[in-house]
Amino acid sequence: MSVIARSIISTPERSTSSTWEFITDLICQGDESSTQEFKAVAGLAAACISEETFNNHALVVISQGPRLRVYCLYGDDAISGDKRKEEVLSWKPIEGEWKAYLPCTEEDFDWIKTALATKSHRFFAYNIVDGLPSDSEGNKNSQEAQATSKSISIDVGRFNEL
Amino acid sequence: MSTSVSVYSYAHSITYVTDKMLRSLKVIIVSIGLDPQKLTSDWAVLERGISTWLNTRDLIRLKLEIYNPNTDAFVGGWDFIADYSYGDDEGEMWADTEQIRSTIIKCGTFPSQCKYRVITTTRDGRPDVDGWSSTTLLSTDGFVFQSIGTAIGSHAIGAESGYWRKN
Repeated sequence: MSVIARSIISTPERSTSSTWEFITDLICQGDESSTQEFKAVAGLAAACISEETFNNHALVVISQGPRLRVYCLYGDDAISGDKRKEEVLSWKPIEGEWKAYLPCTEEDFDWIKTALATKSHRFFAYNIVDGLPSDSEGNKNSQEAQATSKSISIDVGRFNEL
Repeated sequence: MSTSVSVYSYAHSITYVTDKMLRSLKVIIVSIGLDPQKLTSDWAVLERGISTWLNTRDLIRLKLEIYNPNTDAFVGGWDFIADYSYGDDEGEMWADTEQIRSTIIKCGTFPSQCKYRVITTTRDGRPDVDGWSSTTLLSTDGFVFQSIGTAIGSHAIGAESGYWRKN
């Protein structure tokens, strides 16, 4: 599994709604059906962007292709644009089966989770304190990656004894 | 409190203050025990109106009116008062939602059956914005506005905040 990340300029350079519109265009690439899915959750996504959860926690889109992680840039980073990564994607994350996970604060998680369930069957909330839910494909892969990482970990103490 | 320093334009101030006003409304609505979905459903329209009228300096107050849906009587609310003389052209932007949260803790929540609406008061002659229409404010007789001071600041625009409590 490969992971591709993008960092999108947000406030105060772009409003939170404009930020979500940019993310929608970036991911949906003109696809009508997925664009409607993204529009249906626009207010909830804008509220998350406003909380600046996207600063350190990505919108995660999981599909058959690479996993996409979308962050936002705020304040000085948004104005300078030095860290922006807004390049067009080389694949369509919304082709076939896909799911998207919105980063929510602990305070907002419950109501956003409930609200998303009424608006989309593809968007889900995740609590930034807990990370992605355990039943998401992405988290399984993450656990596998961690297991693999453990299997090749280096015992520095023993290494220094050599 | 979040603070950042940079060289900001007036347009940045408008976007920043608009965003922090909406975020503050969301924090208030969640903290007082009401459902924020009405706010998020209208988010883009609210954003468009607030930013337009901050840009033309026509926005006077952004108001959260909380009312009893059975009687349509005002039961409480929060205001944000635009201050176009705020700031000294230096690039600091900040928002203090913790001050709002601590005030709500002292004041308590509202019954979940209460409804709310977001209203602006504007100067005469302000441009129309799609999705917005005229309305009449609910009577605040028996209530008094209690300022908690400046809650949002930028190099060009500030916003004083406060709540309505029973007199």
